[in-house]
Order: sequence, then structure tokens, then C-alpha cells
Amino acid sequence: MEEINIEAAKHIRDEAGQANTELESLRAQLAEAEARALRLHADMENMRRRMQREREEIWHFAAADCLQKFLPVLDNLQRAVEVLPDTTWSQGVVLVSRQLEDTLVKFGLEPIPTVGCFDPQFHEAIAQDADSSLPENTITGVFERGYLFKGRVLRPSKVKVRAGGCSDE
Amino acid sequence: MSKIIGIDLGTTNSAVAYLEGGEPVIIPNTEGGRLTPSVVGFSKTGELLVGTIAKRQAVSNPDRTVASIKRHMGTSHKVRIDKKEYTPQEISAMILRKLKQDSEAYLGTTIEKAIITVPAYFTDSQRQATKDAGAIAGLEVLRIINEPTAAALAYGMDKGQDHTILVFDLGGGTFDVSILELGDGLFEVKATSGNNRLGGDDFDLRVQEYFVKEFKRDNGIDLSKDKVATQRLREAAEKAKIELSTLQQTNVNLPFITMDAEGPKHLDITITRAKFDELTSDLVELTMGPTRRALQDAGLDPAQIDKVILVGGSTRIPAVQDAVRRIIGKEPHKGVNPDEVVALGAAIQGGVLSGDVKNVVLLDVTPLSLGIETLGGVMTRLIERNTTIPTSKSQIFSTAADSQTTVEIHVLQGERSMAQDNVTLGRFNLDGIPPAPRGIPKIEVSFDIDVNGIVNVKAKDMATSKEQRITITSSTGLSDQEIERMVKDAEKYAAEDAKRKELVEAKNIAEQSAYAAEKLLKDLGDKAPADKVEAVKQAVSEARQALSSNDLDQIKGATEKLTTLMNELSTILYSQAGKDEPGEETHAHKHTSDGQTFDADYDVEKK
Repeated sequence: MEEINIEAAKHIRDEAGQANTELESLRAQLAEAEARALRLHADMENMRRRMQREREEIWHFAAADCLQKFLPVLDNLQRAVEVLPDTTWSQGVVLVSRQLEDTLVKFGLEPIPTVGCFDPQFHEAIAQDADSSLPENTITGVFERGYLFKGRVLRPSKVKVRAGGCSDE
Repeated sequence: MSKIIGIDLGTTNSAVAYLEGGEPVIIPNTEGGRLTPSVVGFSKTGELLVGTIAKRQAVSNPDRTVASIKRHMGTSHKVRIDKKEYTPQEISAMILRKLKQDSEAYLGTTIEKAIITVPAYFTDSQRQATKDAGAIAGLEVLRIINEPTAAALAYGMDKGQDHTILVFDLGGGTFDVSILELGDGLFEVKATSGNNRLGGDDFDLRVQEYFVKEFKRDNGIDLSKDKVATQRLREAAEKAKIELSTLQQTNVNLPFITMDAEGPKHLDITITRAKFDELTSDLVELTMGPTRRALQDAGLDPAQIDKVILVGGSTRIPAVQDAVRRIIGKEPHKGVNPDEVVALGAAIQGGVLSGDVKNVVLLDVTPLSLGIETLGGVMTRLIERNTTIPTSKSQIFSTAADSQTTVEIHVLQGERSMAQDNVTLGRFNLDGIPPAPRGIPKIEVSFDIDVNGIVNVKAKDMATSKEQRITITSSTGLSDQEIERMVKDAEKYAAEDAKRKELVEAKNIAEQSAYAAEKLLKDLGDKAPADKVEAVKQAVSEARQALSSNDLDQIKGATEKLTTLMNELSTILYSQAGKDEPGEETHAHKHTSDGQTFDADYDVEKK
């Protein structure tokens, strides 16, 4: 009789132990699931915020792409102006060129200055100038004007730069 | 836990991506670009420049600018700048640090862990050097993985059964071809080959040379001696190459390209894709040798390659794709941006390591629309195709006939307008609807698709709350080909289906109008003017006749006539209702337009 009781008690203890293990594992699973849900939620929040920021940016810079496509037209008109012999015909073209530039400036286009020091933030070096008497790293010529749009480089100015001496020498 | 980024540390350009909600996403750099040039420069003032900015000053500062450092990884090569020596690891670390910082700025968190990709042929020492570069940049490199493996991961090719994949990577300056074998979810590199001096720049150069040659022939001037002209030609050549990937021809227009004694000269050339292919055919052919060699080394026939992946911007060139198609005899996998695919795959690997990929339930989409059949055999869609699951949707429907007590819910899958052209997933009846005129009972039909694609459809009578449901487990029993065919069919028959649907809808309207007219006549009884009643009855029978004709115009005409007559009749009905003074009303009618006098006369007579 007692033996049976012991057996039964053992059985109950085993079962309780099993239930405990199962409970533990379920708890762990729940914690993991909660953590995952939370992380996913955080991910979504961050994504929403970034989307918002990106949307504002897209709106803010929407004209950039369009302006950029007009730049070659402006470049070529300015090239024309540079080489045209000075006649009343060419003066008209000068006016058209200026008109185009003024219009683009009204949309937020801003020419990048190309005097003084070369700065890779705004300028792109296309050639070195070894002969110039100007100090090192000075812009000695402009191949193509660069532009900013709302403070961001739309296209860097393509310039010729006085060669910098190599400090290895 | 901090995010793990995936980095494609390339010879010409690098890219970085991370996993967002289970999907890999490219992180743009602070300049807004999705690719960062793998260039490092030191300004005169000792400032460190990395990426686009370093590239811009390369010409003016060549002694302090380092490009393509990847070619020296794992060697004892040293870069000497301002009396200081740098190892390739240190230079690479500068690129990695920028990628890390830009990612941190973009994500707004600190980044400590990364996966970095390397070419499949990299030796242990090259891999170790890459890992060291990561450590110098303050990144714990969790794993170095092969670029082709990353590309395969980005295409989800680690799932499914074992297969053999050929990765064809034509980048800015290097060409690699790798053959991978997937077994037990692991990729094994079977063979690699390539040409480390072949890339997109070579294609640009061919176009540029062509422009110079054409211009010389027409004008006798050699533009290649002119720095400004060369610069303009180089840009125009690259632009033309890109455009010819989608267009059959493009115009290159460079006014005032140069001057001579006669005045300004302009370049105006139209280049066709055929011409481009001719100019670059030997470059394309150069990729074929290594491809054959890789196949040979792997001991495989082209037919044994199960999948082909294109990596690198230059694989956008149609002639390159054609060549790959010809040699392997398979359509290459496209869809993921070839410039970004390696970084995206690295981000996925990061997700796998962090458990993100395993934990995130990979969300699937319904391949085909789901809906039910409604009056006239029309398929009414409740869930559109490509909806991310799990999802649910419900809509209220009603009965089509008076005193209808049962509705049949015919669950359909497909893209065609008519029920009969779609696949039946199941049918069930909801009965016990209290008898009511048609259109009155409210029956809510809800569709619910769970994560596993199991569809539950429920119909519920809102009045009695009685409901009936069906569970469809085999909605995805269709093969990919069948789904493809169904979607294609829908496009093919779109016009025809729209016509049939229009007819059915016209018929439904005609039927409803006839029904409503009869009901109105019955409600009115002898309150309605006899001649009007006669006219409406006539119109109803005409509408019924038109219905059996199946002629859209006839049905629409009959419906219109009936509707007009009904409106006239309703006007009388409404004007009678709530008016106590018949005289006044008659008066009012008499003051309306002439067309109304007939009605008014009748009103007087009746009262």
C-alpha cells in the first residue's frame, strides 16, 4: 500500500517537474515572441520616421533632378556666348543666355564660385596646371561651371588646378 | 541589440545595406549616393577624404589619392603618403569607417557589427586582411562571405532544393565569374575565373574613341588632344552607353566642342545599339573565355547550371545579357539592382546570423486575387493579387431575388472578370435568411488568409447572425507556371472580359430597373395615371425583351427609356405625397415647363 503511494507520489512529482519544464519553455517562448514583436514595432516606428524625413527631402529637392537636366543647355548657351563675335546678333543670344540663367536661379540654382582654393566639396579637378605661377592648389581654369541647389552640390565645378608639390619630395 | 550591416567592399565602388523588417535596404551615404567610390585621399592640410570627394580631387592630388586598394589586399604593398606608410588594410579601413559613420547617421544608432564580402577567389590572407580592415574601422566582422554567395542570398537562392548557380559579375573595373553549388543550405564555390582588368569603363572608352574618330573624319580635328573636349566626350560616352541599355539609339549633341579658323565646331552623332554592340563586341567576347573556363574547372556542362545571376552595373548592357544567355542557354535572374545585390545579400547574411531572418516571419503575398461570384457570373474581388499576407477583408452583399432564403458563396481565385474563367476554390451555402425583398438582407462575406496561406471564408447574415464558413487549404496548389499563365491570360483577355462584364452589369441594371418599376406600379396601384402606367409597362416589357437579346446598346437604350419614365412617375408620386392642397400643387405644376403640363392636367383630373 505504502509502496503504491510512493509510486504515485513519484509519478506526481515527475509530472509536476515536466509541467514546470514546459511552463519554463513556454515562458521563454513568450518572452522571445514579445521581444520580437517589440523589436518589429520599433523597426516600424523608425521606418515611419525615416520615411517621413525622406518624403520631406524628396519634396524639398524635387526640382533638383529637373534643374540638373537643364544644366547642359545652360552650359552650351554660355559656350556659344563665349565664342560668338560681338554683333547685335550675338548680343541677343547673350540676353537669352542670361535670361535662362536668371530663371534657373529663381528656382534655386546657385553657381559655385571658382576663385581661389580648390575644394573637393565643390570642385572636381579635371586637369593639373604645372606652369602657373599661382600658389599650390589654386584654381587656374574652369572647364564647366558647377551649381548648388538649396545648399547641396547639384554638380561640382570642373576645374584645372595648380599642381600641388608632392610632400614626399 | 545593434544592427548588423552588410558591406560590399568593391574595387571601384562600395555599398552598404541593412535589414529592415526582414527586407534588405541600401543605406545612402551622406552625399545622398547609394554607391560610395572606393577612393581615399589626403588633402594638403592632412584632412582625410573618402568617397566622392576623394575622387573629385584625385587628378589634382594624385600622389595623395588611393584608388582600387582592393587589388593589393593581403599583400605587403604599402601606400606612402606624406612620409607615412599605410597598409592596404588601413586604407580599406578608411572606406569602411566612412560606410560605418554614414550608416550610423542614417539609422541614428551605433553600428558595431558587419558582414563584409570578398571575391570568391580571395585567399585566406586576403580574407584576413579584409577582416583586419574591419577591425581597424571599429567594426566586429562577424563573417567574411563570398560576393557571389551574397548575390545568391539576395535572390533567396539559399532556400529550396540543391542547385548549381553561375554568378556573372561585370563591375566597373573587374570581371568575375563564379560557380556555386548549394547543398544542405550551404554554398560551395566550385570554380571561379575572371579578368581583373575588364569593366564598364572599357565600354565607355570604346564609345568615346568612336566619337573622336567620327569627329576627325568629318572635321579633321583630333579632339583627344583637347582636355575639355575629352572630358565632355567621356561623360557623353557613359551617358550614351546607359541610354543604349534601354533605347535602340541615342543622340549625342555637344555644341561648341572645339574651334578652328572657320569658327566653332559641333559634335552631333546618333549612335545605335547595333553600333555600340559592334564597338564593344570584343569586350563582351572577353567575358566568354573565363565563363567557359569556370564551367570546365567545375566539370559542368552549361546545361547543368540551374540558375544564372547577373551582378555589376555593366550586366545591364543587352549584348552582355545576350552573351550569357547564349553560353548558358538560360534566362538570367534579374530584378535586384546589379550594383546593389552583393551588399543586399550581405545584409541578409547579417540577418541570418543575428536570428533576424529566422525570427521574422517571411511575409508572403497572394499570387492571385480572391473573391466570390456575384450576380450575372461576375467575379467580385475581395483580396487583390500581391497583397501581403496575413490579411483579411470583408464586404456586405445582398440577395438577388425576392424572398431568397439561401445564398451560395462561390469562392474564386484568378484575375479574370468572369467567374467561369477563374479557378473555383470552394462553394458553400448560407441558408435560413428571413424572406425579404431582394437587396434588403445584409450578408457579410469575410476572407481571411493566415500566414500559411490558408484561406477562411465566412458568410454571415447580419439579421440573424447565422453564419457558415469554409476553410481552403489548397489555394496555393497551383504551380508557378499556372499562376503565370493565369495572370497572362487576364492581360490577354482584359478587353474581352471588360466587355462581358459591362454587358452583365448593364443586364443587372436593366433587370433591377424592371423590377423596381413593377414594384413601383404595384405600390402606386390606382394612384398612378393610367397612360403613364401603360407606358412604364410597355418599357418594362421592352427591357425584358432587350435582356434576352444580349445586345449591350439595346439593353442600355431600354434601361434608359424605362428610367426616364420612372423618374417622371416618381416625380408625380413625390409631389402628391405630403401635399394637402391639390390646387396649389396643380398650380405649381402649371408653372413648370411646357413638357410638364401633361402631368399637371392629370393631377387635376385625378383629384
